[in-house]
Formats: sequence, structure tokens, C-alpha cells
Amino acid sequence: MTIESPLRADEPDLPSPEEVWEDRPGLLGFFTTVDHKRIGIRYIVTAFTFFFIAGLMALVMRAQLARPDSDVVSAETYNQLFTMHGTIMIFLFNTPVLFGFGNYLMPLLLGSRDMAFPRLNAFGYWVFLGSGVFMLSSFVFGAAPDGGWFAYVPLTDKAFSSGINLDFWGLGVIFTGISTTVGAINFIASAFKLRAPGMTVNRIPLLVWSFVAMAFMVLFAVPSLTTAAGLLEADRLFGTAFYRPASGGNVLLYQHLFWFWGHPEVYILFLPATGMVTTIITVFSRHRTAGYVWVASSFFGIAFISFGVWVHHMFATGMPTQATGMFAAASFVVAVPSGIMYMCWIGTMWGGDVRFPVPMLFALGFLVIFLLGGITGVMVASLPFDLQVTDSYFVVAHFHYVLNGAVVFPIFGALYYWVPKMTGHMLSERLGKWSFWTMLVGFNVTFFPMHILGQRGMARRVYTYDRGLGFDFLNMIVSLGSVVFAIGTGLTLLNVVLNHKRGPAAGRNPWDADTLEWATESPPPEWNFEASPVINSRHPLWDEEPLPYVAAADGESTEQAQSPIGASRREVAVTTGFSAEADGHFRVPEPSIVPAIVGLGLFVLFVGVLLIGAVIFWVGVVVGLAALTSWAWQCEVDRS
Amino acid sequence: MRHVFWRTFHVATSLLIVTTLTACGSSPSMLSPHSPEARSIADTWWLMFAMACGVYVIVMALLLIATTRRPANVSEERRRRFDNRFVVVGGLIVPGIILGITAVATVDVANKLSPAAEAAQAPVRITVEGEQWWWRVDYPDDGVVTANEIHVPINQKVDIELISDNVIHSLWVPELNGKQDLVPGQVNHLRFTADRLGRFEGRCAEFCGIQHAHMEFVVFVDSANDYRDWLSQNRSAAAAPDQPDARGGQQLFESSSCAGCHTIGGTSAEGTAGPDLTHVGSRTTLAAGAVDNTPDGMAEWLRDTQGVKPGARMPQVHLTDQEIETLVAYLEGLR
Repeated sequence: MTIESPLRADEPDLPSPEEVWEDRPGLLGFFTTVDHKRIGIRYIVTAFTFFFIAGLMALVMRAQLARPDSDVVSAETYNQLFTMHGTIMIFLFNTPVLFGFGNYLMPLLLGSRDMAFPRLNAFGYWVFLGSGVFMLSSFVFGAAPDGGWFAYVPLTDKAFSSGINLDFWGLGVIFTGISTTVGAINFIASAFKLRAPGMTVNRIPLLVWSFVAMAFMVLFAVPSLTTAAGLLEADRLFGTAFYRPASGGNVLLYQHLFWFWGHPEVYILFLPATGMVTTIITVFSRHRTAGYVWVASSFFGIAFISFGVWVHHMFATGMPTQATGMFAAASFVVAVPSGIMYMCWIGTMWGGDVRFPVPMLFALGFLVIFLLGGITGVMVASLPFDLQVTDSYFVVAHFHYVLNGAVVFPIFGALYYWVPKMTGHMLSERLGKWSFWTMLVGFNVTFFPMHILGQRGMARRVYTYDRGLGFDFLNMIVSLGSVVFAIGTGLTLLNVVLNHKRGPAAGRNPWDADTLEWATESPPPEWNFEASPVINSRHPLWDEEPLPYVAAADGESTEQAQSPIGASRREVAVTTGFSAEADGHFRVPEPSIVPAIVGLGLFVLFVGVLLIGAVIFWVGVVVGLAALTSWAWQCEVDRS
Repeated sequence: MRHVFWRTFHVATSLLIVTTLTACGSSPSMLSPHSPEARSIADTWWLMFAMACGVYVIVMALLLIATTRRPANVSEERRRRFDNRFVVVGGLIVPGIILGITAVATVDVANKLSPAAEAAQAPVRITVEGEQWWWRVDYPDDGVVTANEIHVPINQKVDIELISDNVIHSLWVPELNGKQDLVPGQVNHLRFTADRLGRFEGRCAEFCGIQHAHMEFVVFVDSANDYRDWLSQNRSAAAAPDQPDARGGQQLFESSSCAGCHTIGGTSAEGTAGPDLTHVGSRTTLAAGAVDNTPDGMAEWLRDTQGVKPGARMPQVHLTDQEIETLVAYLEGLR
């Protein structure tokens, strides 16, 4: 499908879009860019680097557990590995990789030129990178956190973990929370104000809805984590006693704060993944999404209910049954929206003509795996059963079915689906299929036997186990499976490395998809679209060809806009929140080094707290504040 | 056409089920319950498991049909009505019924297990204190203190009071009941009525530091007579050793750093940081399951404490082979 380019038919005295939108060349451009696409890809690449690091850690753990009484690694190292595997996967892979896709895709899905706050967007990335380097550097000092990714007190308090290890965790988690929070604000503002004219709330792509629901969850959940970790650090560094029972503190307070974030976090990861699955299933069924309203409502139903289930992580802590029963009930109810979405996915395929390219295979793999993870999720919500399986390998199996199967599989599907848009080159279908099948088999061989191990009495977080308890054979199977799974993920890495520059040209819309990102070139130019498209349906590219465009002056829709918003100045069109009517435009800030410097200041500040080094701390504060001042200064000049 | 996706899926699942079912062993499994409490939980599992199998098979069948059928040529309005029905029945009504059944079963069993539901005092009261990384076991009504082994009488309700003054631990004997945490600053209870004689493996289930993996214990379910004998045996002070080797061991124990951390009833050793060793010779394991309690095991533990259980709170005491021999003779004789 080709689209006339209204941008080129310009008056000669106006600057061209290239001049207006392109980044500065070279290294300076790298550090100053505010382009959501560059930032999005950067998020994805960085997050996948962390994914493979944490995956290698898992392989070392499985080498240790392959046989009983083994000593591939020491107890100390093993405890650091499982702590950092979980921490990296949650904080440095799953969350940021989804933010990366969100950053890349959201303006394109909305028909906009950038996110609402592009500099904040750049800032979010630098903070994420800084917090990742901060946490991982603990390995260099031989002081990686070893208190579990959940860092329960009192084990993580100074009395029982006197080293610097846990400070890397506590401060790192607070640090990375800043990145997540500013990203969430950006998603919400963009989705409500930067939609193409005509994209009413009833026509917003479901992928965008999933990111909006996720962003609201982030805003309510992350403060709780920051509080949990902040009070922990206060106890550790300044001797407060929030969690010390001997001084009037409460041990379970930490768990409440942690899981008030921790359970919603599971859905924070899950919702965008389901948004991706919805997109992929819709496109490869070549059929409108069945139950659009049901799916969108389910996102928000999950977002809401998931804040009322956190105590199911604490069933064994000795709370009265009346209290735990209420949370068990909420945990059953949260399964309902997932069930509704599942039926919508089946319904979509039921009405369509299903094709099976690699992204669709990953979506189907997701359906097969997630159903099992969802079912065991209901099981562990059952209070008495949970008392048996909590802290056992059954739970390890359950949440890997959910967080690995139901989040990582969609992310891999998303890679195959959107990398052609990002690079302009198709990935290899053949290698992709090899990767998918290896991953699917490896995944189930790795994680399915863990259910049985848990029921047989194997506890989590043990660096070794005794011979003769009936664990030996299954652990060997699990370890072999993990190697197969790792090879499968490696094949996709190979696929991207080989084909992101050399694969066959993708063209604008290789999948015959329905949403706006496929209306522009692959990769899209810095300014994304020639002009703002006008939206008249939920599946614009399927229903209208070519897309109508809007003219800047009067908001009238025409085939050939005369001088579109953003063609000769850095600005994006703004529409009203509900009905997406044209509502003027606003200036997009110029590229700037300032967000990176604020991030650097924060990094130095956190290092100062970590080392209790007053000089380093104040250097960080001064650098950060100076950069923030410059940021505000520029805003005033730019927007006046 | 059946896509290769489905064929591979079925082969893989069958393989998986076969391999896992053939891998049997004698595990401390929640599915071989030996108390009414554990049995009610296992029953809940089997109920949920049966429903889960049904759900999984039906949904996979729907998925199979949806991905392979040719789309019917129906009007858009009929399709939307069909979608709505599908969602309401498959996504609301059926899950509602299944979740309702699960919830009723859950509440029923949870109430039975609830400590609050049993106001009557249990005849056997035991206090278990979690340490890093072993279990202090106290029978307050009988004046017995031991470690890492819990003896209970068959067919009698046992109430275990769970406390900790260090980090959080969790006591888990899968064959007898679900787990309960030992939370500093509060007192929790775990109750069960074992109805089969034997030895049941238990362990700490909450990550509690470097040696969480070796924080195991054993529950012995004894007949009423055996239990009474065990109590009276353990109530008495340690018998003075009669062999010269063992006497040397006692002297060494009392005069060295051992006595600073361990108590041996009837001697001057009164330390409380480590396990009470008054009857250590009668126990089956040492160091919370890290090594078998045999003369060789004891000697290995004394010779290479930090090698057997790296990070253990017991420091490496430097002893000659001769000294180890006398200590082993003494300690193994404490029955």
C-alpha cells in the first residue's frame, strides 16, 4: 500500500522535515536524542542484554541443581545468583523491555510524532541504564545482593546482612522506580492527548489500552515499593527501626508494602504482554478483535482487582483465616478478566482465517502456557493448598509459566512482529520457527516437572538438596530442559543479529496489519508520519485505503494536507481526550543532553548513598540540580 | 488441516506426562498425607486438579477448532452476538461456577485448619524456635529440650508454638500439614494429628540465609508408649561416661570453647547459642540434616565444620585427631 506524501509538496521557504526532526550526528546525537523510536529500541536492546545475563545465571543455578549435593558453585554464590536472576528479570528486563516496546510503538499507534514528554522519555532511559549498571556493578565488587529478590526483613537488615550487598538492591530498586514512574506518566499523557483525530476512546488500539492500564498501575504500585525499600535502607543506613520488632517495628509491614507493589507488578508485566498477543492474534486472524470492549474492560478490571490480592503471598505468616479468606476470594476473582480475554482471543480466531507465521506461533505458545499458569494461579489462591506449596518449587513452576511463558513468549512474538518495522528488514521465518519450537519444548521440560518437585517437598531457594528424596531425576530433566530453552532464545538472538540489516526488505506493511504504525515506512522517518491520519474505525488500515489526512489549519480532512502539523516545526497535533477532536498542537522540545546529565547526577547521588560518601553524594546532587535547572530554563525559553 | 503446532504440542505433552509419572521415589510429598489436616489439603488438590484437567482439555479443544476451522460466512451482527455469548458463557458463567466450587472447598478446609477454630487446648504442646540454621525444640510441660528432631505421639492433637528471635523461618512437614512461618515479634501455631507411625522429613521453607538449604528436621510419630519412654529418657540428665576415651572427651568439652555455646545436662556446659547436646547421641542427624549422626559423621563435622556446612554459626574449632576421637566417643555416648 502506498501513500501520497503530502510532506514533500512544500513551499520552498519552510525548513524540510529532515532539518526539523533529525538528530545531531554521531555521539552527540546519541546522548541528546529525544526520538521515541531511538529511545524505545535502546530500551529493548539494553533490556535484552540484561535478559541474557540473567539467563546465564539461571543456567549456572541449574548446573548446580542438576545433581544432589553438588558443588558447582558455593552456597554464597548460589544465593547471589538466584537473588540477582529474579531482580534482573523483573526490574531490568521484563519491565523495561515492555517500556521499550511502548515507547517505540505508542506514538506510531496513535498517529503522532513523538511522546508527550520526549525529554522525560530520554531521562527515563538513562535512569534505567544507570540503575542497571548500579545493581550489576555489585558483582564486580563481589558483593551482589543475596537476600532474595524480595529481600525480606529481618534477614536483609544490618544485623543479618552486614555487607554492602543489600544496599545495592535497596537503592537500586528505588533508583529504577524513578524510571518506571516517569515512563508511566508519559504513556498516560500521550494516550490521552496525542491521538490522531477521530481516534475516539472507542477506537484506541487495544495495545494502547493495555499500556494505559499498566501505566496507571505503575503510578499506584511503585510508591509502595519505594516506601518498602526506602524504609529498609533507613533501617540499614540510619538505624531507624521500622522493621525491628525489638524496637517497636514490624516485620510484616515490609511484606505488606512489598507485595502491595509486588502483586500488581505481575499484572504490570502481564497486561502489555496480553496487549501484544491481542494485536498479533487479530492481525493473523485477519479479523476484528472479538469483544473489544470486553478486552479493554478486562485490562482495567485486572488493574483494579490486582491491588486487592497481595496478602495471598503471605498466607503462611499467621494472619487470621477471616482476613486471609477475603484475599483468597479476591485472588479467585482476578482470574475472571483473564478468562474473558482468553475467550476473546479464541473468538477472534474463530471468526477469522488463521495464518501461522512466527509471531502467531509465539502467541499460540502463550495461550498454551498461560492457561496452565493461570490455572495453577487459581490453585495457589486456595488458602489451604497454598500453605503446602508456597515457597516450594510448585510456585517456582507457577510463576515461570506466568512471567516467562505468558510474558516472555509474547515479547519474543513482538520482536518477530515489530523488528521489521524498526529495522526495515524481515527476520528469518525458518530460524524463527526453530527458535519457537526449541523454546516451547525447552520451556515445558524445564518448568513442568517443577510442579511435581514442589508437591514432593522440594523447597525454593535451596542451593542443594539431599540424595534419596526423589528429587534427583526430575532435577536432571529440569536442568537439561533449561539448556534447550536457552538455545531457543539464543536462536532468536542470532536471528536478529543476522537479519536486522540484511533480511529481506519489509516494506510498509509486511503483515497486512490494521494499525497505524504500518501506514508509514519501515523504519519510520524521525517525524513518523507525513501528516496526522484521520481515524474512522478500530482497524484503520483494513477499513480505509488510502488513509485520509488532516490539514493543520481548519482540522478538515483531506486526501492531501497542505501544511501538516510538524512538517516545518517540531510540533505534534493535540486532540481532545475523549472524542479525539483536533485541539491545536504543541511544541516538541529540541534534542538535549540535559536528561542524560540529570540521570548521571542521580547515579552519582545513589553511589554516594551506597558508599556513605558525603562528597560523592553532594557532587551528584549538584550535577543533578544544575542539569534540572537548565532543563527548566530551556522549557521556559522554548515554550514562551 | 491440523497445523504442525498442534501435532508437536500433543507429542510434547504426552512425553512430559510419561517422564514425570515414571520418576518416583520416597519423597516427603504433600500427596502422601498422614494426618487429617494434610489429607484435607490433598483432597482439595485432587478436586482442583480434576477441574483443571477438564478446563485445560476443553479450552485446548476450543483453541484447536478456532485455529483450524474455515470462517463461516455470517453477518457482522450475528458474529458480534455470537462473540458476546461466547464471552459471557466461557469467560463469566463457567469460570464463575468453577471458581465458586474452588472457593467453597477452600473456605471449608481453611476453617478446619484454622488454629482459631480449636479453642480447646491440644494435649501435646511443643515450642519450636527457629535459629540460623537449626531448630530449637522445647517441651515446656515435660522439661525436655532437644534440637532438629520432634517426637509426637500418634493420634493426638499436637500444637506447635512457632517463634523466632532472628529472621523469618517456615516450618514445613508436607506429610503432616501445610507450612507456617516463624515470624520475629509474633507467635504462630501449627497443629496436626499424625495418624501413622514413622519418620517424616521436615524443613525450613522460608529463605533464611546462607544455609537455608540445610535447615532440616525430622518428625517421629511414636506410639503412646514409645513417646512416654522418649520423654522420660530425654528428661533426665546425661549419664556420666564410663569409658576412659569418653571421659577425656567430657573433660575436653567442658574445658574448651564447646561449653560456651552448648548445654549438656548434668555437666558444667551451659551455653545456649547452639543446640542442646544432652542426648545428642540418640539423634539421627547433625547440624540440621547436614550430616548423618554416626561416629564418622560426627568426626567429619568436628574436623571440617565449615566444609560440611559453609557459613554455619559454629566456628571451626581446631582439634587434633586424638581430641576428635575422644569428643566423638563422649558425644555419641550421650543417649
